[in-house]
Amino acid sequence: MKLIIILLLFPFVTWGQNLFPSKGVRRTTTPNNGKFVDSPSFNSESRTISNKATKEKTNYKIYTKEYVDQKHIPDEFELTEFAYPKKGSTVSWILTPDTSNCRHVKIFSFYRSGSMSLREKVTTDLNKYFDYKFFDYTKEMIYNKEIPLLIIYEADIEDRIKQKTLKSFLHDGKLDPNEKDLITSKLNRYIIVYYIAN
Amino acid sequence: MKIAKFISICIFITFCSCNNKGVYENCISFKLTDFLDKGEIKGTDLQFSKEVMRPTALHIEDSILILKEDMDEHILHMYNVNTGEKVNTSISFGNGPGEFLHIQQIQSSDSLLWLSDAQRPFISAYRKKDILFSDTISPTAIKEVMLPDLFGNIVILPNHHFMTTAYNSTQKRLSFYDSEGKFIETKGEYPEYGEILTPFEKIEGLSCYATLSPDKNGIFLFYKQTDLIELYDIYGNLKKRIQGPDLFFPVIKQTIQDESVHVNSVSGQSRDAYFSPLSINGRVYVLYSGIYFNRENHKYLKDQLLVFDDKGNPLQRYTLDSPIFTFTINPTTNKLYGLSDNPEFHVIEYQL
Repeated sequence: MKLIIILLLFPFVTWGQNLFPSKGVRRTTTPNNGKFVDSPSFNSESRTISNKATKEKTNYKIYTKEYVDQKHIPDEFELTEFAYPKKGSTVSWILTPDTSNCRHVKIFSFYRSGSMSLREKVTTDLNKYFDYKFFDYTKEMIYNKEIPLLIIYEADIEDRIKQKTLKSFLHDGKLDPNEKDLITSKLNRYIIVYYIAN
Repeated sequence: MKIAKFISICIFITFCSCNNKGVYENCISFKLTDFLDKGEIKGTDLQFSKEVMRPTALHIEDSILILKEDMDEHILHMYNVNTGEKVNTSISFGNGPGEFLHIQQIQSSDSLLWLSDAQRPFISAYRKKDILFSDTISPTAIKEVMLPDLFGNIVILPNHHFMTTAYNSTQKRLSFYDSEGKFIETKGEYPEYGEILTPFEKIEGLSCYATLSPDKNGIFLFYKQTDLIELYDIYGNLKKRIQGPDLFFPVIKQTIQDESVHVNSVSGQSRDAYFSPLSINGRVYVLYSGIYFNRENHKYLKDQLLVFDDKGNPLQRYTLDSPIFTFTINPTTNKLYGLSDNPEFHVIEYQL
């Protein structure tokens, strides 16, 4: 009888000392030497986007959309950020395309809330490289229209060096948003960042 | 009789070991009734000469209230709390020289204002008069310190070194850097309570606010998702651990989608704890929530202001008639200035 009681109790004692992981917890290794926040390469160009709301209530949305052969490639994360500025307030954020790895583009956006979004695209075509151009834009918010801010496109090496495709569209190094459709008609694959306010 | 005694001892040992879960080691608990209840205090909505847009942080220097605005090209906006007049604007949003992406903290030290940018990460010191009164939007910083690690909090230590809670899973609870931002050491262990957490879950679930203690001999950590408070000395040694008033622990869930790691609070299970601690006049003031996280309609405003002494002993508690999400206190007038976004963003003044 003594022996039976001891054997029954022993497992309870060991279970108490043994911490089983909760079913909801998964172990993982952290990438990138324990630092889990990415950041643009040091020589990436940044553009501060500032748009002043002129209506009492504004719904301001930022999109990052990809097109191939003029067809939109849906992405569940293409709505990048949104804000509801009141009249007179300014939506400011920073757009930074990082093409330091020209076959793997990273599009960083930094927001006033302290959050950051990152969209990444790669090209597997060995003859293609990513390049980008900013559009010119006005600080006063334009409503009910997609206002392009940045275009990232695939180009071949010669084009990237000589800037053939979009050279004629540049005005002081920037693109005219009114020429967006004409510009995109020349591109096979591109990613466009724009805002729409309504 | 001997058998009965043996069984009793085994049951007692089992009870002790099974109860490691949900307990912090060497922790003293406290209750709301340990505070002297000062009751409800009534706030006054402040009106300014210019409408505030979306201030999300604030700091007071004498009669000048500094608001950090998220909906303006310029970040810091200064108002005289006595006259309501707008006094000045300072610091532009950006990542160029003299610009900030996200001013996370405004800290005062002697004649300097320290502004930390959580995004980049760096901290800059300015003469107070240059921020408060200078005509230039971009005053010159007298010191700029770049740190090697992103941080959740940064505390300026009496020896002009820095302590952070780093966003780096290879580092411990506290990380120390010299006055030039060079890494010195990392110390302290994340508190354990019987759950095994991944590195990301640990960083997020055990995230906290840090503030120098009123006597400047210690560092308080007030946790956001568990009602735990820790007091370290300025060398990174844990001196005291207290928990209360509701005694709850983090509930956090990590998921992996493609190559992205997501760490989320769990609606209906995770709870909010402490927010915005401030050391002033020999005391530590902090907002306390205790409510469950509701993904659909979470309430971020808090009406409980708890006050501790510089050893972490409960002193007083106030109930604010208009809840706020952050605050600052004028040490001379003992007036508290809080921010609320209900129904619109505005500043509320309380007399403590």
